[in-house]
Amino acid sequence: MSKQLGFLHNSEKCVGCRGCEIACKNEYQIDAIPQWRKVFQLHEDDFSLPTRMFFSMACNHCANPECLRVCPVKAYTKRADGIVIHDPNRCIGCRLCTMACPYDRPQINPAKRKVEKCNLCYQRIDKGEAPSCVTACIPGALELVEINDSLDQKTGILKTLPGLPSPNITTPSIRFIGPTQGKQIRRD
Amino acid sequence: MKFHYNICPRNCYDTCSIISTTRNGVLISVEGNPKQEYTVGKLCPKALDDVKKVYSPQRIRYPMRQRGRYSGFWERISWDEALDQIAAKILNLKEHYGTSLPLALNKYSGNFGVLHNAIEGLFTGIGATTRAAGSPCWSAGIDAQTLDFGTFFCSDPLDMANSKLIWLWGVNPAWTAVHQMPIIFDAIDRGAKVVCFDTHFSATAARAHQYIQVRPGTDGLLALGFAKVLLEENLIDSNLSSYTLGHEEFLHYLEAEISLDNCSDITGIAVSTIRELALEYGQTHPACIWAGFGLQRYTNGGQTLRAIDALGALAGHLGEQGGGVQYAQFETWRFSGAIQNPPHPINQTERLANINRFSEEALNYTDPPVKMLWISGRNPLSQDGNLQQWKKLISQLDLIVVSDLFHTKSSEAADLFLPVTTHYEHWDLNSSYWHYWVGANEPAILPVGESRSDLQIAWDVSSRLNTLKPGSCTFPTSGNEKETLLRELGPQMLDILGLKNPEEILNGPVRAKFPSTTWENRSFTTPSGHYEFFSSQAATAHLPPLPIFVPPLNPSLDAPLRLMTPHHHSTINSQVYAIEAHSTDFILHLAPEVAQRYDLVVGDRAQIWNKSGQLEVVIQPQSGISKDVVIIFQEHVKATSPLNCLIGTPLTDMGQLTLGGRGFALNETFVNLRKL
Repeated sequence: MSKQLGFLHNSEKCVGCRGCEIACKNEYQIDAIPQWRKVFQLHEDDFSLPTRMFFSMACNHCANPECLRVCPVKAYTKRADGIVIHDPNRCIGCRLCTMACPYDRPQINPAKRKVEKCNLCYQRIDKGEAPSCVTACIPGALELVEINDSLDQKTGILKTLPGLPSPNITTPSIRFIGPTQGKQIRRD
Repeated sequence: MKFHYNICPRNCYDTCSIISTTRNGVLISVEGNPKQEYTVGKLCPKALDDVKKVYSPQRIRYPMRQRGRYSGFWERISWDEALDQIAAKILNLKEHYGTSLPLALNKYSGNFGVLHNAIEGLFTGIGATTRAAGSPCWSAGIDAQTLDFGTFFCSDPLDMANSKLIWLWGVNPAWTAVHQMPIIFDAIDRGAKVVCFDTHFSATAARAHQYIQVRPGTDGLLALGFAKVLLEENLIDSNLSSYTLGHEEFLHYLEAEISLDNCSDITGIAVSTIRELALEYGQTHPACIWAGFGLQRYTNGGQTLRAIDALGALAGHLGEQGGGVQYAQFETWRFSGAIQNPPHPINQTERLANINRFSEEALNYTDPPVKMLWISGRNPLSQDGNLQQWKKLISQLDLIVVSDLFHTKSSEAADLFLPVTTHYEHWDLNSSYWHYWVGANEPAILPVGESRSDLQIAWDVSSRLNTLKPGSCTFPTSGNEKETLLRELGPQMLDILGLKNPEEILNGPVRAKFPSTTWENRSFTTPSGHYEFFSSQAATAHLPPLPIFVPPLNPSLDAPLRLMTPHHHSTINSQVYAIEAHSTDFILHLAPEVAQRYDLVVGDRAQIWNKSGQLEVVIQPQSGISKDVVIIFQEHVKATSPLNCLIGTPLTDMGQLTLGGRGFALNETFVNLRKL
């Protein structure tokens, strides 16, 4: 199997501060919309106890990217290290990819009428630096990792979280350390 | 490209050290300074958004005059016109009343940099004026710790990583001190247990091993309950008599007055849980308590913190590496104060108005009345209670000056708006009230538009006053910002920072040379030199000498729900970052059972009201909130009515001793609810 870079997100450590969102915007000078990276709160209905849990998600650089498959103008390519690159010069803004992505991460830029998305800071990675979101994360909840069997065999590594689409659709290159719930002593 | 040292000046625990980058005189990026051990090179989204804030199209770039308060008809004027109007009004009032007391200043922490005290210096230089005194934030807790320890002084927050048991009590660092979270996670990785006490299930509580939901305002009684268990189980530090005063009286109080059943009834925590937690706290060393600001914003807030301090003392956790009862500190703020203390022109004392009841107390002053108000680093019309009194005060004023970056609720009522610089455009000096780092802030770019620093504005006003009437203000009429900054580092501060000369601060942020753990030798700065369970100072101030339980306010039939308004992760009070508000309404978070009781479902519109005012809200049921509490986070919303229209001016029990005014018992706000 060839190399596949991706993200490891620790929902126990992510406090939902959204530093990663802003760091991404600062790196690429993106307007308020689109949001290449976005922090979501996990629905508490999916857990037995109240939760205040978050996950941060950008493009998942899937092993089987639907965006790449449906794009009529070949704006998407996949690098040898697994990063899915979107080329705005080819993009015609048809939005097929935004409909095909189960994670809604390719985003239309209303001003440019083209799609944009996270390219995993490939220019930083090529210089040996971490992506800007990873560098910015204060509690250390976001890591750049190689997605492979040895990672998946570690205990506590999850392929999905409650409320997310099935990973079988696109085989996303993101792994999670799931939230653990402490003991909650609540009064009536 | 050029790099510059900056410090985030927001009123926040973290006070991050920043490195900003400019290209051709334009600020292009900000990042954390990796050499500062608390920031460790990372910034929160509020600071990360600073470039947008600095160049925001909404920022006010020129002095403005409003044609009619609340009209929104602002016209650009020159600095000369603004300064003329201000100076003429000041001199006119002084002449008419024969004193400068009609001039009032309401300033606080919009920018916590030391050079912003120039506005205070300007007012001192004019003469005796009317001043907002005290703090809306932390007053009761400060007095409590001052009575107990002699002063409030927390350990280096990195010390928390050494703890084996961390009690986060009424504090939500995940949203308000995010750099503390990796330190807490480190402690967890080393095997520490974390317990979070809060009135509602917060983002921090969700990451604790155990969450304890305390009935609001009863935290002090819970601490006394724990102390009672320590007494019963003989888990009391055997050396108490060597470093504490009055522990026998305190133990006697526990024995005679505190019953665990009663404690359980009132706090809402089962006796078995109280026992279990107390045993763990008494038997684990080191164990640390971090008491937040939220738990002291009650009418009994000072007593609450004294009870928590007493619990820490009883268990022998004071002075323990990785232990203690941490609240905040001001030991790294021992600046020379030269800036706010120019020579007093005449021997007359200032009139003080409690900042939390400013409008009421300012209105009470009639001889002479307050006629001019300067608002700096504050937004009282969005944050203060009792808006009706504020309206009354505004109508009696001849001139209202607001200096700020953006228009605010308060500038809606202003006559003049003076545009100020951000921390990327002026020199400053900043300390944290939590960690031990102090640093100089250097300008990275020229002031945007015609904005001026508070210090420059103070010089300019003084200069204009002295031109119109020589000798009318003793504050300097010009100067050099950098030199003014260096003068703030007097011998005491240089000693604290371990610097030979003030210029060394320009080489980057410096950690104060205090040991990491406070009170390590258990020598305290109280009158007795001991930790004081029994405080004569408290008795002198007509407060109970022992930490005892005083009940908080109770809801009434007219207003049965307690309204809590905690910080949101995206804001610091009314300071927001530039990302547009998503919601047009405040969200009322409440227990699903309460929503049901009022026939409300998610997304419904409802009204909350009390005798202060009314507010339209959108309903969001959420588990983890108890049935007697509703919560509105201080989120950035486009609502036309401000959240503080529901707030009165209840005061905390303490704050007078150290800060000259009792604190704001914000959490003693009650509302009624109905579906719209």
